[in-house]
Amino acid sequence: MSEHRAPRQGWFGRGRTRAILSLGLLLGMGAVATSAYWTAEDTVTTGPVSSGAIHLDLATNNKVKPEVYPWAGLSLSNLAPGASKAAVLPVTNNSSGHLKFSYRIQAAATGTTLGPQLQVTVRRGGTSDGTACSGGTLIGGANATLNGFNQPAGANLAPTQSHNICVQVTRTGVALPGSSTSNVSFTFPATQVHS
Amino acid sequence: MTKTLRFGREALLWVGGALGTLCLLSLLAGWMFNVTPLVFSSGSMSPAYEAGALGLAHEVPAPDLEVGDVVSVVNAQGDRVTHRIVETVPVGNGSVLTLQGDTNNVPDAEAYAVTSADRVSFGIPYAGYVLNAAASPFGLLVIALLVGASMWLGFARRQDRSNASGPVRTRALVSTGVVGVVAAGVLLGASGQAPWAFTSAFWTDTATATTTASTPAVVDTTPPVLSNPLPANASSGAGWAALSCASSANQICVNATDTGGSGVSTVFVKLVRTSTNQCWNGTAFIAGTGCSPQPMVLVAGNQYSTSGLTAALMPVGTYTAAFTATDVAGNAATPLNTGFTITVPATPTITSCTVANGLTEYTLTWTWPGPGTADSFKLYYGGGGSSRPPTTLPDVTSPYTGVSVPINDEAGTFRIVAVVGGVESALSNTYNYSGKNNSKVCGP
Repeated sequence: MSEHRAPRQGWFGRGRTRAILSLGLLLGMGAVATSAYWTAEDTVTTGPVSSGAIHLDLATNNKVKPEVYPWAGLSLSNLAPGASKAAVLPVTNNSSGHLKFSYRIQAAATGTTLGPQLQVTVRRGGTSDGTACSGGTLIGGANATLNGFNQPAGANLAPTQSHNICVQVTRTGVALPGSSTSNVSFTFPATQVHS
Repeated sequence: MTKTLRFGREALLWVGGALGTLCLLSLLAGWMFNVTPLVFSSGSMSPAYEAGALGLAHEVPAPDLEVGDVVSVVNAQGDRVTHRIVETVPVGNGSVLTLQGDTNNVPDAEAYAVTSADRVSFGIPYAGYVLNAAASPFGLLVIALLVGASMWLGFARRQDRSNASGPVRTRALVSTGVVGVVAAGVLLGASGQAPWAFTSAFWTDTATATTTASTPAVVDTTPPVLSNPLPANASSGAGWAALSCASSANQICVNATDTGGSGVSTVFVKLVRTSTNQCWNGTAFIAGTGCSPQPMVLVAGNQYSTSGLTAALMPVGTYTAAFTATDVAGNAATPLNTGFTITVPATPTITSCTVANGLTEYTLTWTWPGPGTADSFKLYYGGGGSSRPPTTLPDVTSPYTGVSVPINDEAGTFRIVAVVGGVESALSNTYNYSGKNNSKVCGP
């Protein structure tokens, strides 16, 4: 241990202290890297740092926040008992930057007369013949109660990708007064996904 | 060793030493002060914390969290989320936090129940990029090389000067130290005790498609129905007052109902007095039958009535009333035709006439068959060929009695008529009176 009693200038000048201190890098990075790559726990994850802006767009490329799209394609006027209407709505990831997101499909219908008598069938990637959706992946159940419908879309959207969401709305066979109306909305909340 | 090489060796050692010290100090600070460095991996907290910023967070208990604080929590998927508190609801000894990214237009879907959270106090722009890069495989390689080079430069045998220590012992010590430090780091990371965290300050967006649903409008094809006319069809009565609608005096009434859904819109009646070939134009009876139907107004419920008819307008005679109605949808009711007759009241019959001698009053009694109640009775009397205006006898309840005081000492006759609805009956039988003072007589 004679080197410990060596003149200070010589000891330090030889760089052993700094070399030992540099081991701190190993300790720290080892800890970070280990927790980032090798633990099952997800509480510490490294991921790409992404800048940009998230945009989920419906049928348009408006990049408006928040977007409200008057969906003329799904005309639900004059719905007879048991009748159904269907239309396809493209949901697009128009985010700037590499932002992948997951999203949910929610539906609401106002009123207490017609609103509760509306049912919805959503098919991701499905096609519409104007009255019914077919093909694709059924989201939630068929003919689910429209008001309060809230299901994950089941697939993520990468930038520029889009899903054709086929929405079929069916009125139950319950007799209702004439000219009853209900405002129907379909909401698509998107959340960025790290991957 | 050349000057350049010496400078390079010194620089490498200084950089390695400084960065290593920084790592050790931050680890130490993390444990001592509960400070967690956070890397913002998206710009949803921009501009307070841009993507790539390194935030320093300090764990605080839930009751100390306030709306507006930027906190880092772990969501249901196990990802760390760093957003701003927009609502906090105390639950038990913790809180349920609603968070929202500053650039997100909607709060996070998930509410986070926490007993404590890492509150971000300040951020260092871009420092997160550096940390992120360092933790990448390439970054780790660079660090490993840096540390390796530092160790070699610090401990390897120097050719330009003698080394007092035994090289074998030193090398063993150094190798053991390096391996030990790496093992400690791995253990730290695996145990989750490393204070660093990469945070998902994730973005959200929402879009809504709207449309309106409606049921078909009801088409009303059912016409309204007319019923219950007053006066009833084929009815007859003495005087208009006795015959007209009870709920609306002196008027004609009818019920109109619509079950088609749109409701009754208009009800009309065309009133014709057939006995005189006149019709009602709304204000008077005019010659002919060409009057336009007159509108009826709603009285109550489903009952409609005329307005403007009076007893004077409705003398004795035969009448027809033709009712029509339409609903809002334009359906016309089947017309309802009625006829009724206003007759002369029945004729009363004088049954007795008494007079007390010496008095001036004659007391008459009479009968009247009705029907109903007469409005009044009138007494016609006169003598000596002169005719006097009739006087009204107010008694309209049987037995009918009345008193008359003719002009003194005059002889004459009493005759009575019944008045119903302004219509007078035919004159009754005749009672004669004569005499004066104590010789007055009155009899048939």
